[in-house]
Amino acid sequence: MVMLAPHIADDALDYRPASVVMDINRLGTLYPYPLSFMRSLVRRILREKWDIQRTHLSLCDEGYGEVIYSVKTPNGIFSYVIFSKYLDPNIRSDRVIAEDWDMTVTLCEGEVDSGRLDVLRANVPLQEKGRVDSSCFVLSRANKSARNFNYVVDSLSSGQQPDLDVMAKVGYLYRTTAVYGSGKFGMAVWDKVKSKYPDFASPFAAEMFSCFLIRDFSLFQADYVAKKRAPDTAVEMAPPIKRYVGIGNATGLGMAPYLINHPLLINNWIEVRETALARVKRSGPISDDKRGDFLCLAEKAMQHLDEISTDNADQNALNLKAKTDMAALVKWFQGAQVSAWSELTEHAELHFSVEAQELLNVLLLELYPDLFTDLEESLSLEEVYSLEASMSVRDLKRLVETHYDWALGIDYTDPKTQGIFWYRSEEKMEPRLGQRFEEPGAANEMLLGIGWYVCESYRDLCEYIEKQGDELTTARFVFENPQHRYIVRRMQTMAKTRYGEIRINAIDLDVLPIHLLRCKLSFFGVGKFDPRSRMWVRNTMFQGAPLISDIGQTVEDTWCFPIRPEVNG
Amino acid sequence: MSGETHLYLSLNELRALMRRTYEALYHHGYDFAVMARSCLWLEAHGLDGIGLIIRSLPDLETPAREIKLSEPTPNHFLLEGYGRCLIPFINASTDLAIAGAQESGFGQIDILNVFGRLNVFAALKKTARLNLYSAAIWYDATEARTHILWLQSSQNLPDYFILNEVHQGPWGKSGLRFLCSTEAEVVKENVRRVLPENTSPHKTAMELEKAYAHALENGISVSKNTYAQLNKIADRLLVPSTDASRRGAGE
Repeated sequence: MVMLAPHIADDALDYRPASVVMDINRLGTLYPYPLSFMRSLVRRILREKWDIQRTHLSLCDEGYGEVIYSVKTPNGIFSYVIFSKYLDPNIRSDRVIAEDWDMTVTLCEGEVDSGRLDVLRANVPLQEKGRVDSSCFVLSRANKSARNFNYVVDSLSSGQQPDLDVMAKVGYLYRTTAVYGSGKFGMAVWDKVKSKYPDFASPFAAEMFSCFLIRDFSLFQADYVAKKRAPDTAVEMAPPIKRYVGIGNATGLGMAPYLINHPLLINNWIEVRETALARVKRSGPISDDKRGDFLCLAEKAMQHLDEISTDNADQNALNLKAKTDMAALVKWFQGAQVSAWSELTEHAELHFSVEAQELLNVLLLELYPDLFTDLEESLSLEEVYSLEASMSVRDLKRLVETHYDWALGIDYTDPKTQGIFWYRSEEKMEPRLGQRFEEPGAANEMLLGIGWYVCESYRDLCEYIEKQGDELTTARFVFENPQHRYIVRRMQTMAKTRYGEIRINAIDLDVLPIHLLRCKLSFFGVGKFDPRSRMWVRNTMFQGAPLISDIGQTVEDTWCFPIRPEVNG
Repeated sequence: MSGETHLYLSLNELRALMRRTYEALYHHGYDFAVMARSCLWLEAHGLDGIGLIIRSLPDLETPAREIKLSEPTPNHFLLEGYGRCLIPFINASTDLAIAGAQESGFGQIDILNVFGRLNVFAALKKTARLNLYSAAIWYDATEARTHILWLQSSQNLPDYFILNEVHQGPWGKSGLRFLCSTEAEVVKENVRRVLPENTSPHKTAMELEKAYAHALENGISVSKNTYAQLNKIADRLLVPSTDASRRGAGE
């Protein structure tokens, strides 16, 4: 069978099998890596020396008002427009269904004159209830971490740097609660962004850039308010602490359907990552320098895990287990004199947790970015799920049995395996989970239980073959069973990929959507996962990343696994 | 920005709205994702996909659809549509002809007694992606005009011809013929039986492509009434919010 994109497949490489890689429990342990979108974006900004300036500033002493950033890239001029306001703490909410926020923003093409600013002012703060035009391509909002923000402003205004113990506990001043792109609310669609704005033509680059600038504004605002409060005593936050401040993020169920609805794209991201790992394991030379780098990086990663603050007992246990396993792995490595990194990964696979295995993989990827940064361009692809009309039903049956064995293995006669349904709530169409046998709404279920649809279509396919023989075409089968056309073309398409579907029964009573969230967030480059339930997670973006003021300086791409900075005085 | 009576939807917004609309109408009984894309493509190429949907709504809202399939030859299928709208079953129907072309070089379907026939447009786009050549021909009795969509070369869009002539053919007054082939000449031969040489297209492939580029750049202007009408259907999918359902969002 012909393999589909991502065109980077190298059969000489030793790829891990889909049964291992696509297991949802493993995908739920992924860490960011050098091709994660925010890492790629920052490399690009620094390499191309983007000119980012605050060109319009209209703020009151408390930092409320409007700011416009002018962004000059090699290919264009863009504006990033921020509306900041006082928000009653009693209505501050990270939920999608919130109606008001501390900060609302948009990223748009070109410069913003007063007439355009009027239009944006009337719409951007409304978020989902507003409309923007197709020159805009990100719409987002963020809420203050009020306690942290106030603490930082108090410290700075009294002439003190914020205490790193406090900053380590909550590593941000603001949390984004939604970042919209891809044509929402009248904005430019991805195809336009991709073709017209090459600076943002990689997946989620514009959305990540928006978060990067929210972070910058949060730092600027803290300095600004402190200075206004106490002009004589205030100090600016020290750059090393600023770099340690990221931007918080709250991600809920809304992100989960994306992964299930875009299996080609997700397969592509996974395949790129696995290609990178396979290249490193094949070609990454083990020199004394690299041994030393590995040990330093492992130490840093363990400290990073140690510094993660979460109230979630399960996550704490996972972090602790990963750290303990990594320590044992390092000890083994120091005594083993391995001659290839694959010896280390094989040892980890035999003796340590999945968390530790994936942590190790990322450490190896961090050691040799030059072996795979060429893959950056392969991360986006056009998703086409095309029915292979002429395939015989015999071949179709074999295809399902071969590529969807994981789904056929689910026993859907057990009520638990279909105990959940996903639906859209009337509150802003927020995706939610319902208990199938206890709550109303299952008739309006979203099509996310892929395994169930696979089994239904397979059952009907077998009956069809029983009655009609196995020579007829897939076209005949779906004509007579139109309810299966979607899943059949999806299966036919995914069967041509290396990794196929995420292996999850999304309608199982015990499903953990948080694994889907972490998987996607790791590709974004997000770290410090702080699960608040099995359905949503707080996390931190850009912690440790360079600042806008670092553009033009020599900055290494080594801000993975951010740890507390050393600050003198 | 648009005036008071219209708003601009991005292509993604329109597709998402149509997906939810079809999902609300048929749940997962049909391939709602492809149905939505078909509407989007019509609209984005300047062929009034939304208008077609709105005019078809009384039929689309009526469930219990029946289609009768017969097969005069292994690659020629005859379908009786019983006067219903083509939208829900056009993709699965054209699959039959495409399979025929892929298996034996030529495939054809004649669908009788249907309306909303311009919805076949997406099928021609699909054949282009599969390196097939294709055409769709139908006679509109109410206008006394013959419509032809013809994918003539490796370009990815068909030319659209409208003739002020009667060409009922075997597809009758309210039917449609869709044919495709691995050979350009085979399709051409069939089309030329209806379409005189040197006839200028009503819309050329290039004009359709320009319309799409414009929609991609600026979005699609939709009347607020139409938008509300479609949302009213799509919103049937939404489940009322309760304390229990809020817990289902992770609260």
